[in-house]
Amino acid sequence: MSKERPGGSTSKRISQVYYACDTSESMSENGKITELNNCMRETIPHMQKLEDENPAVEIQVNVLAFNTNATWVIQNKPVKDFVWSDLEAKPGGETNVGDAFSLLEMQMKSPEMPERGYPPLVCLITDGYATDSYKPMLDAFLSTNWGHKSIKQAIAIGKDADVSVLTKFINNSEIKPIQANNPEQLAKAIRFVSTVALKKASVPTGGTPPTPPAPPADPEPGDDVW
Amino acid sequence: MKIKHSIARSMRGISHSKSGLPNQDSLLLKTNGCHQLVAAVADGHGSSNCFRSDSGSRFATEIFASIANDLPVFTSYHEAKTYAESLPVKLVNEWKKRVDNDLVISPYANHEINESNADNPYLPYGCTFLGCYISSKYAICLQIGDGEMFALYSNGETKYLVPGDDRLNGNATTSLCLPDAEKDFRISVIDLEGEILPEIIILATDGLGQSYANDSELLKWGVDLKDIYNAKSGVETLETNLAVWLDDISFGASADDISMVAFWLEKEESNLHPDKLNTARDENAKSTLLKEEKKRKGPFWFFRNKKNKIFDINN
Repeated sequence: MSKERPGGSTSKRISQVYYACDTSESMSENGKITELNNCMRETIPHMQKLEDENPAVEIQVNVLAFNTNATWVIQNKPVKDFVWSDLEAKPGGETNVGDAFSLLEMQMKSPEMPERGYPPLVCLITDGYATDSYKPMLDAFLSTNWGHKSIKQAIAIGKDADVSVLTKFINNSEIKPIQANNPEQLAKAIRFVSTVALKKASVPTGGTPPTPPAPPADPEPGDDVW
Repeated sequence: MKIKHSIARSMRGISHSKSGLPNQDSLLLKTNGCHQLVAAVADGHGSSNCFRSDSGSRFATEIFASIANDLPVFTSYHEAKTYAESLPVKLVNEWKKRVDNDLVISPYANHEINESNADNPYLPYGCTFLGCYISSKYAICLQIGDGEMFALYSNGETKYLVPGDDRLNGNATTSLCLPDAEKDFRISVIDLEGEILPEIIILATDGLGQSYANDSELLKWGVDLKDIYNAKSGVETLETNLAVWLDDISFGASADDISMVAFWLEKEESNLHPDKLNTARDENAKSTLLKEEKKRKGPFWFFRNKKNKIFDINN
């Protein structure tokens, strides 16, 4: 059998970005969930621009919400078609971050993950302390091939966020959780993850030794709200 | 085992056409008769910190050609393996010397010096490298960094020729420019007189591999090249079309430069294996072997003999 061009189907290189967003009850306080929705909505055009500038890359967005349980809100959505759907904080909802890690672990092991794609970017956003025994679930996520290789970022909303969970999740001493104590800082943190960190993870540079993206500049001066 | 055919092309990717950067890849294909072949592809990183990587990739392929010139015909697997293991140090040392010489002729301008290349002057020349040396009974394969080197075997399987490397992750790659680069090479030696033999060997820079979501789609190249070759009964069609295919793939997927060398191997039918001739004890034995070979090949065989092939594309 002969055919016109050797090799199988070609495709753009897939770059998956995952946002794991806390929707526990505390996120309803002081407008945190509203600001998170606003910031995410505002960052989408920047991600679409990043893809437009890099025709060899297809960015796909995944969002999961976690409170007492974790659920996927959207999966494998091409960023060019992505529209942010507002998340709602769940009354009485706890911060069972372990459930989020379990969903991420299953996704990283899924056959849908492209063998030759870019390492995924996974961003955990939370305002509180874990209310479950998350460690075994985190370890299981980190032990998967893509979980281990993924670029992990974390945003702590307010001073009550448990930075130690976020640090363990990032699992890289060169990357620190980003603290956001007011809406401006949250916007800046989400913009950083969705553009600078994503670009570092997925835009072809030809190849150099692995280095984490430079952290965002110091938080904008402003009153702490959270 | 003898070398039947070989093809090679290097194409500038659309991303470099748009940015005005030259092709950062280099490619080498050199055959010496039917029993020796040197093939290499090297991919200059092309990032802003690696602004001389087109030269770096050219140095790598040229140095490999020069090292291969001095390699002997291996008489045992052990000997081939020992040589293979010595190649990374030689290649890295010679490559660094070449960069040092280039820096004497063309030192970095003030505006080119930054923190990265002040620490590591080799960084602007950074590149990956994939090389294959075939000498009659053995193939030596060596690779540093990303890119693809695989073979279609006589049992129909297509397999990578060197072990994988977990550090090749997205944009990150090992490179000739990094400290201790010689330790980052992956090496293999293939016995070409075994039961299951490579029929087609392919070396390609990562612009090819990045165009496929899965290994299985990429590795179809092996069997497809065989099918196309058999259907069209010739290598000329393949050679002409290779440039179009690589261009098409780069345009539709990776947008990166793609360089590829592919060559066909077949079982040696001759009784006059070079080793046999070399080890023939006296002139009478040699003469008998030569007569037998002449009889087997028939008259005017030398008109059918392919010329040596040298294909050296340096961006």
